[in-house]
Amino acid sequence: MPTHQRIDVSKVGDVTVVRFNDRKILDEAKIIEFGTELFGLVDLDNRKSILLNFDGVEFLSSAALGKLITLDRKVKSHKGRLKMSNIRREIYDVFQVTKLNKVFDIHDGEAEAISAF
Amino acid sequence: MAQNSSVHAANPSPDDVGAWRLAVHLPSERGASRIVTEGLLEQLGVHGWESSDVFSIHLAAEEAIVNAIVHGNKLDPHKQVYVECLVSPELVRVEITDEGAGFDPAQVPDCTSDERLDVPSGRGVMLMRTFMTRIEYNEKGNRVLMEKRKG
Repeated sequence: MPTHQRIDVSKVGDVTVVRFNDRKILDEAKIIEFGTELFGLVDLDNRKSILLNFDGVEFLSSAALGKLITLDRKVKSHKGRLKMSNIRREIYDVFQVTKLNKVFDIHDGEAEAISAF
Repeated sequence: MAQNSSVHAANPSPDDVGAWRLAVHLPSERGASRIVTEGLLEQLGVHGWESSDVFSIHLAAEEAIVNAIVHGNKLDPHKQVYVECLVSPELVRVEITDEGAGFDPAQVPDCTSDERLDVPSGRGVMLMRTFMTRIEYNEKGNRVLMEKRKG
C-alpha cells in the first residue's frame, strides 16, 4: 500500500473514499503530489469506485481543478466511477462557473454519494 | 524563497486613509504567491471582508500571480513579478506585472465550451473575470489590474 501525504484513503464496502489532508489545495508542489497520489489509485491500485469527500477543504486553485479533470478522465477510461461530495459553497461556485458540475458527479454528503454507486 | 523579495508598505494617500498597501517584487518561483496572499488574506479580515469575498479575491490573486510566474516569466530566475495591493473596507485592488512577452486575453479559448470542458488547464483567466468586479489588461498583456468592490 503506497504512503500518501496529501490524501487519506479508506474503504466503505467496495467504494474507495478519499479525504484531503490540506484545507487549501493551493501550493503547486503539493498539487503535483495531490495529482500523483490520486492518479495512483487508478493507475497502480486499479480502484474502480472512488469517492472524493471534500469535507474540510476550503480552497482549491485551477491547477488542482486540472488534476481532478485528469483523474475523472482516467477513471472513466478504466471503466470506473468517480463521485464527489461535501463540497463547500464557494468551491461549488467554481465548479458551476467552469461548468465542471456537468462533468463531475457531485453529491451533497458521503452516505448519499456511496449509495449512488 | 522569500529572501530575495522586497516588501514594503507605502504610506496611504489622503484618499485611502486606513487602507493597507503592499508593493512587492516576487521571484519567478512556484509558490512565491504566498508572499502576497498571506498578508492579503490577513488584511481582508482586518478590513471586514466576508468569507465568500475573501475566497474570490484569494482565488483571483493566486491565479493571476501563478499566470505571471509560469506563463509570463516562464519561471525565468532572472525575471520578477511586481505586485501592488490595496485593501480598504470597500475596495480591493491587485495589480500584477510580469516581465514576459504578454498575451492577448481575448485569444484564450472558452473553457466552458463542450470540446474544452475536460481539458485540464486554461481556467485561470475565466475565474479571475468571474470572481472580481473589474479586470483589465494593459495593451501588451503583461499587466493585469483587478478590483473587487464590496456589495
